[in-house]
Amino acid sequence: MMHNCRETRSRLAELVFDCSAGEHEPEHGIAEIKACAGCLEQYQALRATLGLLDRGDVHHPAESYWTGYNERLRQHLTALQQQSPPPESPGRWWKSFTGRSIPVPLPVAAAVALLLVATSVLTLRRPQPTMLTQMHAPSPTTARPLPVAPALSPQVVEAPVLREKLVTRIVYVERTRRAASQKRQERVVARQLKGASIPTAAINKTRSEHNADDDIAYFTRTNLEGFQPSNNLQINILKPGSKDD
Amino acid sequence: MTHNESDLIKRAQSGDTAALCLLAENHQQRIYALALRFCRNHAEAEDLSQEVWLKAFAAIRSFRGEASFHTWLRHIAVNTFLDHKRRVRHRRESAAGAEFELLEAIDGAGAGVTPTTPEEDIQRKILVDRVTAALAELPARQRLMLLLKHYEGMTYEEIASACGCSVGTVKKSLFRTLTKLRQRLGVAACAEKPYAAGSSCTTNGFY
Repeated sequence: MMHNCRETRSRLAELVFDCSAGEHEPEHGIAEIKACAGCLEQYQALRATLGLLDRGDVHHPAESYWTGYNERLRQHLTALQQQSPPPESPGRWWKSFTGRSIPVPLPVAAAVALLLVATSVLTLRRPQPTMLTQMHAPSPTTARPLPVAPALSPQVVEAPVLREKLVTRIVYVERTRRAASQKRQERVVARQLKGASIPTAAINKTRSEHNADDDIAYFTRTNLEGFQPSNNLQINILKPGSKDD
Repeated sequence: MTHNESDLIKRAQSGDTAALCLLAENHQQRIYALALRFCRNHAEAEDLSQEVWLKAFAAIRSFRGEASFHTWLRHIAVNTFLDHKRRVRHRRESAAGAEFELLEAIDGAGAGVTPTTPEEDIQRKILVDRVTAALAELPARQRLMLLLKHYEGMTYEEIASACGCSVGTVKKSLFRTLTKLRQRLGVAACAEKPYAAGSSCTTNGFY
């Protein structure tokens, strides 16, 4: 069998400690160590180290020392016990609780008793929900609170017009509804134009022209940037030559 | 675990400090010896070993008797030693007077066991100092593993369980520790039976 120094040295400590503990040297282990001068030298040196450790061991105290040691330990333990008494069992705790008398002034005790009686009477007199009310009551799963719209103050917008003409503007509060209406309007226009077999480019052009015509012909637009839609919108039409001018 | 010991444990579990003190009397010397070898200082060893007992008293209710009481106690000791670090240093300085008194008693005990010549005494003190210095240079965990193996005779598995590492780590650590100690103590190659008394090991020191 080939000698492997690395493998042998990994087991050296075990061999050294086993031998120092009084066990017999394992024959096969020693034979393996003796096969290599380096391993044998290290084994012997480690055993010598342990021997030196034993010879350099500190003295242990005399018997008289232990009397004082025990006394000091007793004092420490007593101090520890006084600091944190061991937890009592529930039975003991209940006995100590019931056996304890707490001085309470008579008026305070009477007031507390009265308060307790009043609370219990009020609780008993509160109408209990009947079977019918329970049936009609909305179930907690279906009854959902309605969304509360934020209270917005009405705003007044003044839009001057050049000519006396009835201006109808529909202002939608909800953006989604406005967008839906716009799409619907576009669909109507597209359908009308499709009926006249007009190409898409022409449709776009017609739409833009239609919007431009609206702007120029009927009224001057007021810049409504930053305008917040409200629930109520009042539009005052200012006629030329009216008293307001 | 003797019948008497199990009774004492039961009494200690119900908060009887006297019972724990009686238990301590049976085990205190081994715990103290381990502490002393770990810190190589009597005052610190007393502090450490008493701390072990205080912890044991606080945790005695958790002892279920699955292992022996000494094994359970040793587990607490290992944790206490590893947590110890440098807390005791300033306490030791403040209690210098008490230590002097303590060392007198200990030295008296040591001298009483084996009568030695003054020359041997000096040589031994030098050796003890040198071993102490070499051990002090080791990391606390490595030192503790060495002590648990060499003096407590614990198995690799027990050490691994106590120190919270694998058996392989314990083996490697012990080998490294021994090698380091050998270098620090200057132990050179020696002839047969170096561990026996009067061995022919050559060292760089007086011994």
